[in-house]
Amino acid sequence: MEILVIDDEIEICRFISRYLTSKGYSIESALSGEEGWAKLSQSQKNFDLIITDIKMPDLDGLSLLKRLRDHDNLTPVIFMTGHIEVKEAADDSGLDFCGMILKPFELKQLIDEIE
Amino acid sequence: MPKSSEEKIAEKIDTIIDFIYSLASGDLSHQLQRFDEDSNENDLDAIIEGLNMLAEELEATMVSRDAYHRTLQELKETQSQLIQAAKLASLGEMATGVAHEINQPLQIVMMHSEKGLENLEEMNREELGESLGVIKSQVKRAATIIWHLKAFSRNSVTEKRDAISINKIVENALTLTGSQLENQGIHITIEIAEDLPSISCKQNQIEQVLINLLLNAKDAMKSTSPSQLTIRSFQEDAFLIVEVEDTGTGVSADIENKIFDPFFTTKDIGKGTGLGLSISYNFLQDHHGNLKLRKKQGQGTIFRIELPLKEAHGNLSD
Repeated sequence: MEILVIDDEIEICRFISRYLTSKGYSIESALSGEEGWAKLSQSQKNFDLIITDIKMPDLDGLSLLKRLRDHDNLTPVIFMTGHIEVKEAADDSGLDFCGMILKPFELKQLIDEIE
Repeated sequence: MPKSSEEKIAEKIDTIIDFIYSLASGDLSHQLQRFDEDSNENDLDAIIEGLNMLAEELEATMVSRDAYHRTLQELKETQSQLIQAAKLASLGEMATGVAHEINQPLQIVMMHSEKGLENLEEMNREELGESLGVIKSQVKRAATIIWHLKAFSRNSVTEKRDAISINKIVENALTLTGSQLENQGIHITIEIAEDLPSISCKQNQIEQVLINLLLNAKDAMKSTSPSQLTIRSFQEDAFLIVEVEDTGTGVSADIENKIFDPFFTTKDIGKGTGLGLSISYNFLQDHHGNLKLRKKQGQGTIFRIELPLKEAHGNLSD
């Protein structure tokens, strides 16, 4: 499975990428919403899953998902967030995402969401 | 032997003098009786009448003064409560950003802990040491944020003054609000002068002023683009200056002279207390400083904090 991991917190992005690689997934990573969009729109690779933080400085996760859907990109998205309010906002947004985990989460929860 | 008229007059004058002494000692509860009608003593009666009126006026003044002192004390207590209320409002506004800020290091601690627990047998000392080092640094990161929150929430009215670096205050304010600012896509530029002298101030109060200005700037830039926040500190003559400049909606000319008024707000009902700038202004006045709105070219606002250096090298006051 090809997964794109997006988080502006470099330690989180790097750790999750390494962890998922150790679990047999093929991982690319991005440190911002815009960098993630660039990889999604310009790369020849088709990702099977996007795991992304929501609150990010340039392009937040919800806006990234909306932009994907506006461009007919139906890649499944799992959100990570540390804000309960943001989770509620995502639930109310009407956007289709396939999973949501609240930080701090256990790595097993992440694997469960992916599977 | 009957007293002569001179002796009688002398007695009455003594009575008047005694009354004057009792007034001077604060005994306002008595009045002098008029002397018997006597064509030679009308002047004395006039004096008595005047002294009795003086006693009444003095008593009324004493009552007013006591009431004034009670009212002043109540006002001070109310002011303290209002300041705390405004601070709680700021804390509430910061809570979302701070929660995110703390959840980030907690997530990192969680991940490295799990890695250690899952792979303890396979990890070598170097890998284990690296994970433990990351856990330690992230715990310190979270503790710093929590410490700042606790320090900010202390009652600043009774705070003592200390010699403080203004750049440290800027740093503390950004620790508490930086996450919120960045999450709104605000680009922050910091232009602080090095080697600024310390100032004698109530750190908590000046931090509250700066946090108010930063949160106001954030709100002003909610729907504007670009979103640029610049914080600068420098010395100008006998003052330390901190400026907070944004590219937000600005302050219209018709409300410029109202923005420091208590309870004045441009936010929707329930979104702001209208006390932030008023209290900030008063905090700086208490420091013999000032809070000013500066004109700027183009879009947005500059708020300017001015703090006098004159106590920097003297004795700490308050």
